Amino acid sequence: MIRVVDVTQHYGVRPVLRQMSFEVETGQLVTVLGPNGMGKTTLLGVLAGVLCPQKGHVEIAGRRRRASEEDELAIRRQVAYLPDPPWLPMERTGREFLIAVGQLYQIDADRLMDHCDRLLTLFDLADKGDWPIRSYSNGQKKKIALCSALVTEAPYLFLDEPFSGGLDPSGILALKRVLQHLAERNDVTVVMTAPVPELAEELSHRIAVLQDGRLLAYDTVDGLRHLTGCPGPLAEVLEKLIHPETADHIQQYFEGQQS
Amino acid sequence: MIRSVVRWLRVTCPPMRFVVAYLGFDALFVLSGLVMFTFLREAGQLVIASFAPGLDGSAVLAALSYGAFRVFGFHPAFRPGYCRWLAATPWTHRRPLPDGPVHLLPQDAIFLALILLMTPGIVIPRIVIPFAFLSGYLLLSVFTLAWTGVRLHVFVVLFGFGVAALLFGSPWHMLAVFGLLTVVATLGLKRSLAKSPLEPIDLRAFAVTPAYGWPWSQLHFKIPGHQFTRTDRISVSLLAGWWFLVAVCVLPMKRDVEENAIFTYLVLCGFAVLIRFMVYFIGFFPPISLWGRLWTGRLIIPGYDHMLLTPLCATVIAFMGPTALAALGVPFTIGCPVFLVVVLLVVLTVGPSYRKWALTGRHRIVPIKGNTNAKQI
Repeated sequence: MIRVVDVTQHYGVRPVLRQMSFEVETGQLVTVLGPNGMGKTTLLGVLAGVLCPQKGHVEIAGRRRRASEEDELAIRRQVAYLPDPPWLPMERTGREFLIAVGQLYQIDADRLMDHCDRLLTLFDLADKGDWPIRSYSNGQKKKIALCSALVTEAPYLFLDEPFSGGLDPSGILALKRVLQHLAERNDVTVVMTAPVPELAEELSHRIAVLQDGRLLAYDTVDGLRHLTGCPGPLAEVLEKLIHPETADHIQQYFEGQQS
Repeated sequence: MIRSVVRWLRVTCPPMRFVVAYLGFDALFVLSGLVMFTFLREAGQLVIASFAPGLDGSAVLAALSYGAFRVFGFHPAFRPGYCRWLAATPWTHRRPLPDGPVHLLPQDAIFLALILLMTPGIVIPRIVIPFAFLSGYLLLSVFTLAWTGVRLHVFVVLFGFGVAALLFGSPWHMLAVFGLLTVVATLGLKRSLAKSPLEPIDLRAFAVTPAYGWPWSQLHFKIPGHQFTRTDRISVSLLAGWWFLVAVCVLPMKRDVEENAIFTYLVLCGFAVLIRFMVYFIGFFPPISLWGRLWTGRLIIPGYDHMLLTPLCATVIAFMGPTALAALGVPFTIGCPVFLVVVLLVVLTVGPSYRKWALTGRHRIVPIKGNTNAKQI
């Protein structure tokens, strides 16, 4: 379980996250949505332990981040964080990189080798797996970065914009299937950000909607529909939630054009 | 008879390609000298000494390399395959190493004598050859002992180098000190073989950041630095002070000795403080910007700023310490080494420890962009 308790984070003058509190049950897949610059990546950074909030704290599996060396180490063993953009060791081959990360998480060697093979095949990297990462295209780099998060077998995954970065349709499909599989397993908790509401609608148990650093809504897709009174797709629900005036403006614009 | 002598010599003989390379270099120097001599003789110039520097230099290099080879080529820690093989056999440290001993043997004296025979000794005195050999042996021994955790011997040998330097100008006394240090190193190497399981030396362990890329390099749970114990830090501080004192005593000074000592002391202290600060700062930025601090009135962030206290204290001590001692009549040539030890002790031992800082400091973890092995997508 993840608990975000009264988190306020600012880098400079303006708070990026304001008194944010919510909980993510174990095994849930939560997507954080919101306009650009509203704090999605910052929230992921706080969850992943990259940032230390000025106020509030984060608890993962009952342990508080950065409270003590033991707690932080125990959390790090269970958490994999994929930032956007990730940094990759360009001179290593994709397979070497995956094995290095897997070894870091002390995955059994045989299982690790097998998992690397399966991941490389899944993301169409079987041919490129033994080439240095510098020779990869942007999409392939994104894929190997995704593989590195998945190879950890960590029970908590924090994925920042996993669907962006030049993923091809087969890569998007593969990632969707993997996330769906993880969502069904009930033992892996995933928090991710996504630019496209359709993907979130399809995959997520819950949606967290951010605006101006505040948690505007945190509910299931149906819950959000109920909240906004909008029975349509998630994109429309979000439109109503985040920009209630935009729909009216659009309608006014076209009505004015007709008259 | 000859066969048994060859077999006896082969125990410590370096790989033949190195022997051939050394002989080849020497032959090249001699030939070039002879050619020059032939052409210039008529001009009345004697150039017999023209190849002597080359021969002397290659002899020193050969002796140094051979000394290093006696550890590098025989200690299992340098040979992962040998190390693993030994672990799978009934070998124990009480038995001789199957591929030859790491301690010095009479054969080493034979090889050293051969190198001495090939040293003209015109530019570099012949006495340098045994020093080069023992230096190579001792330096590699120190590295091996440090890796295998036989730290007392490391400390004694490194301290002894200072004693030897103090005896500069009296080569036989220096050689005696080197001999004693070799005994200490050999005993240490024997102890290092008793370490079980013996781990082969992996140079990647010395990398500042493991090349996993971001965020794995900084968010993983194997925090470096814990192998460097408090005793090691104290030893390093004491050794640095000792070497500084030795340098002040031994090195020829063009200007005032005290002036030089103070200048060097301040440079060393500044370097130590800067390194300490950079190690704690790189990758761990303040949680909010300076502008944010000023604007929000949070001028001090205790969870982050306590990291700055140790470098600040070290700086104050570095400036005040020797001056205070000088006021009591202690010369700077003594005060500076003493306070170099104090400053290094502060820099290396006063908390927060790097591990505690990396795991619980209230900082913002950022990618280390200087890592050339990682590039942003």
